[in-house]
Amino acid sequence: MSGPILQVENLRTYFHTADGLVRAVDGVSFNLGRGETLGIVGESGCGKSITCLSILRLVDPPGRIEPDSTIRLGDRELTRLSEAAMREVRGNAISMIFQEPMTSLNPVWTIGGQIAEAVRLHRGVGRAEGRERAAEMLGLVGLANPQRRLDDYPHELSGGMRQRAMIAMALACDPDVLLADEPTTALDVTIQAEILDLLCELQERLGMAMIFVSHDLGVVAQIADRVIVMYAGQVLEEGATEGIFSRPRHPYTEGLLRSTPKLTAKLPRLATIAGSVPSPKRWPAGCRFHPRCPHAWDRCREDVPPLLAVDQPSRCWLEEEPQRRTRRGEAGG
Amino acid sequence: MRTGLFVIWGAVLLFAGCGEAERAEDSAAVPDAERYGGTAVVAASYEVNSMNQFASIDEISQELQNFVLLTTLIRYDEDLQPVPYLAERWDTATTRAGLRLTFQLRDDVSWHDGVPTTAHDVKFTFDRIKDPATAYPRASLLALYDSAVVSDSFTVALYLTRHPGFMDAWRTISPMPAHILGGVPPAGLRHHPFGSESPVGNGPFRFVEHRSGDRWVFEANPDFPEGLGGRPYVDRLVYRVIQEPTTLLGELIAGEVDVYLVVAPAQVAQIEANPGTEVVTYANRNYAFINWNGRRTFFQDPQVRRALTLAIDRGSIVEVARQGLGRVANGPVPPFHWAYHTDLEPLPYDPDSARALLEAAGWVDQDGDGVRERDVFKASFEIKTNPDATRQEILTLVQADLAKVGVDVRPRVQESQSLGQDIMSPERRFDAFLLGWRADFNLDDRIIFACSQLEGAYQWASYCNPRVDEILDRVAMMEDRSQALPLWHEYQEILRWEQPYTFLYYDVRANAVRQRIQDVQMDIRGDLLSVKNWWIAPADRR
Amino acid sequence: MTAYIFRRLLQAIPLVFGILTLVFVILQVAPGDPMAIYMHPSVAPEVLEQMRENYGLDQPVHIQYVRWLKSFLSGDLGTSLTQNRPIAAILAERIPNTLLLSGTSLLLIFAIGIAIGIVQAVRQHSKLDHALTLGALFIYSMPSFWLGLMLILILAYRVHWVEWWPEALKFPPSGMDSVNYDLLSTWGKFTDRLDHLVLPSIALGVSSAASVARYTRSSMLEVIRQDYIRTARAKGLPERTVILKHALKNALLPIITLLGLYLPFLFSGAVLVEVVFAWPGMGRAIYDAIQQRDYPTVMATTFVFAVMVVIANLIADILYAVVDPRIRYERERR
Ligand SMILES: Nc1ncnc2c1ncn2[C@@H]1O[C@H](COP(=O)(O)OP(=O)(O)OP(=O)(O)O)[C@@H](O)[C@H]1O
Ligand SMILES: [Mg+2]
Repeated sequence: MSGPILQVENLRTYFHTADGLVRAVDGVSFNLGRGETLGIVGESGCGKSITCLSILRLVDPPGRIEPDSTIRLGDRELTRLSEAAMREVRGNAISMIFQEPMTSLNPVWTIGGQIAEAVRLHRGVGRAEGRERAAEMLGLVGLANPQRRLDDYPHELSGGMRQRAMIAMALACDPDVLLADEPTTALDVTIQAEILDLLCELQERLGMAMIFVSHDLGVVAQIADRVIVMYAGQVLEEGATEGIFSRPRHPYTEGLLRSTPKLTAKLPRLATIAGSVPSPKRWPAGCRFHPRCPHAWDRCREDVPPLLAVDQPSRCWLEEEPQRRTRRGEAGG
Repeated sequence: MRTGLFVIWGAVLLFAGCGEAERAEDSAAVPDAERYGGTAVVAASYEVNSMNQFASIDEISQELQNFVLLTTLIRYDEDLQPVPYLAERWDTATTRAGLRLTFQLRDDVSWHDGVPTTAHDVKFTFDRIKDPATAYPRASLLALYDSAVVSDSFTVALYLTRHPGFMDAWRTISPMPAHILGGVPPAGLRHHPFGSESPVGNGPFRFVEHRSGDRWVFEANPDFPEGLGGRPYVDRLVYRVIQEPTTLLGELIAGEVDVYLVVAPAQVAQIEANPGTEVVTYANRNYAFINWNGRRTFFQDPQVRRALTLAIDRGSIVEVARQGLGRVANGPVPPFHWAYHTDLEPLPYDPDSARALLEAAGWVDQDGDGVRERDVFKASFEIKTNPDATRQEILTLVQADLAKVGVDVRPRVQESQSLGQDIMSPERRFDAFLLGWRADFNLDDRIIFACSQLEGAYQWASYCNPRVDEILDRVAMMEDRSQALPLWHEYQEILRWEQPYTFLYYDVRANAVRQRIQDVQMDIRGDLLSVKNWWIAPADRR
Repeated sequence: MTAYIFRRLLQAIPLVFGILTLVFVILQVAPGDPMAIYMHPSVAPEVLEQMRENYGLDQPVHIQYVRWLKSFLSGDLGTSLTQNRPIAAILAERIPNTLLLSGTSLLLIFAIGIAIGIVQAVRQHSKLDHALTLGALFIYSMPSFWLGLMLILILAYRVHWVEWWPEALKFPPSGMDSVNYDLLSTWGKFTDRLDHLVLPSIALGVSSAASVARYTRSSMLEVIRQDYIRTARAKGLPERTVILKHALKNALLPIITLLGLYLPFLFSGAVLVEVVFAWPGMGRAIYDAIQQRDYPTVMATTFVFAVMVVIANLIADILYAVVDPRIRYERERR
């Protein structure tokens, strides 16, 4: 395999709001290999969605991708593309599916029309061909009777069917990269599993790379090849799925794992990470996790830890001073 | 006040002079044969009611009927003397019961559908007017007429009781086509499509089109007899209704309207300043007055009424509210009338005398609030008028003037219909109101001032003076003008002294005319009097 | 849908009759008399009595009402008491004129209002947005009557003294067409009519256009925030398509309801605007008829207006269903 299809380096997306600067994504870097699935996990508000939207340059003002951020798709630098060239990328080379299938489809246009629209735009095909492709895609994502579904409006479909339609729409132009931002969170558990299976299967069949965002670690463990753990707009830990789940290095990752029901099924009740996510307007100095970290010491309060270690980098001073690890942290809740 | 008036008349004359000069030049340059053609557009703010003589009473309908679509039997000359028109000649003979009036009609006038106009049309019209079922609004015109007899196709004899001005009716009644309307039951005449959809006349213009609320279109009648002036010069005559004065002015300035009838006083200066338009004025038959309700204590005393008139500066009302378009009135007989009392000066503006008169009548301001009172009554009342900018302005001036002599006036503008209801009601639901009258050529004021009418619908002043009754009764039957004149003068003198109304001013009508319309003559006989002589130089046509 | 329309029309019948009865009562209670135009000293009281009798005005009120209702139900709108001609003939002349004026105005209101609203929403908080908001507020607070007079004073009057003013921007102050309309070519007729429509339709529509702009702006801003707009952008659609196809159709939903709401306003506005611009429409017919207490004409015009409003609301309803498939779905199931 040649180099990664998507390289994100030092991505910083800030919101210049009237009452202060919101550093929603603050120096995120990662690579996405061809055909690879990268999981992004982290608590709500840590910047997962903004990261994905930044890749497509769809962050609404006052949000802005700061200078020196790089997002490279193959050999194209997306942050420097003109708006027109960027439109060529969206829905074509990179597609995205969203969390809310109920509101992500336009209620006043038919499913078929909304899928065909992207095909016609990027493939330059006519109405009939676009429609045909839409039907094909609906068949692909497992909708029965795709020809008839084309003329349905979103409200005529169930939630699961809508998410399938969304997936069909996203994949209609054979993208190289699919950004799936919590595609299953809003669905029933049984449907969740179906959609996940579908995504896995399609990814294999179409050979695309995928970024899969979720705060459900169980789901990520199932689907991702590699995982990055985000906190407060930064990557705290990164590594192969297996490694992250069996040998978490960062105290935050540990905390996350402990609070996930599937992996700690024997615990009588869910563990949580003490405290709450700080405000993105004022990230704590030093390590951003230190106010909630059971092991934190002076250095954590003052110096910002880099991503240390190589095969499973972790943004934690414990990498340098493992002896500082306290028992309190391990005891958990 | 005389001087003030002189200035107004002077200005008007001066202006007319300019127009005349320009025209004289044009007229000389354009030979008669080239004067035919073009469209003249007349506009005014009021709707034309109908082309049906049996139904309408409004001024513009009558003008269009009598000068445009139809023909009257006679017309008036400048001295308001009858001259032949549809009737070639007439003679009178005394009969046992009164008078026989025989009209000899022209034999060359046809209805626009080709049927000749004959004596039968005159008789038909006469009979319908006399038939109560027709409900002809102006039936009183022929009240003293008895019957009509056709002696041959173009000769009709009318039998009537002798009375002065008996010819006047035939100036304003145009015969209607018997061959079209003869079969219509009298009560149905008024709804006949003739009125608005398919009028057929015999006048200088033929009906083309009527779009309700918008326009009436007439075209020149090529068959109009030479003896009556022949085919009119303009090809088409359009009457447009434009209710809003500002809009009307805009159309005149833009050149879409050639003749704007009844210009609002405030617009006169603008029209005069605009090149290409001019204002034609003439004293018309209207006069404005304030009616005092004689059933109210305050107004019962002629002294008080006289004081009120003395206290109102009518000269400045004419100047300010009418922009000089008027002349201070001294009674119910306007200057156009042959019996107008030229030597009688209107009461002056004299607030001091007014105060003295009020005092003498016992009206004194005892409590020092600026308003006079007598016993328990206060000199305080309401003057009503209808929504009309000029009249509202006048009321404000009157209020200010009367306040100066200790009389409190509350002006009240009331929607026309409900105002009408109030003043016509037998209970006379008003203190005073400001309105206007149009005096007939054949003046008969009994209905508004006679004692016999005290309970009548129009005796709003509740004025009663037996001497006035006697005079009015006598002049109504007196054919010899030299005999009647002293009586008419006495009548005017009495009314000047007793002031049942405060006669405000005799109206001067202002019409705007674009100069491209030539030979426009307008006077008390009518705005459209000369319409068949109007012409437009070829270069000026639309 | 047809069943739905039919049901709506049926529901409107009692409403319309209620309105008519109310109008009849109000006219009877209001002081005045249709024969007042004939009140003049030279018109004898007996003549007036005869006229009243000819018109049936001498009958008691309830008899008049029943009579009127009977002939109305048999399709006879009666005769105008003041114009002395069949009301049906008057209406046949006037209705198309009012429809032309209010239709043009409506087009103007929604075309301009929506366009401005979109621009404002897309450029939210820009100087342009603020300027337009302010302008809309100013215009919104202008009465159409006054605005009409101002338009005439400026664009049809003052400009005649401004030499450099282009001829094409001088407008006729009134009427529906020029005096020589009949003599014009088809194209000439068209432009002449258009020329005459400009000022009155602006006067009639501009304040509603301002409020449509405000509604569109806020509705658009609401819609632009929606997830499906992000979806549309993520597809790579150009901004124009996103706004005009995906956002607009959704943003129009609340605007369509306005259509039904504005029509009565438009018709009542037409009364004054038609007077100012001498537009020979229904508005003036009803105005004159009320002034003269020509009650059969008032009744007939009220009826036509009421029916027009009902139909307009129905059209708004149908449009709503056309634009919003969810509504369509519900109605079809019912
Ligand atoms: N329009 C905005 N203005 C200001 N701040 C914003 C805006 N949009 C997002 N943010 C900030 O960016 C941060 C990251 O948001 P993001 O949506 O990426 O979180 P997330 O990790 O996707 O959370 P979730 O799991 O809830 O989806 C949030 O803390 C939020 O406060
Ligand atoms: Mg998110």
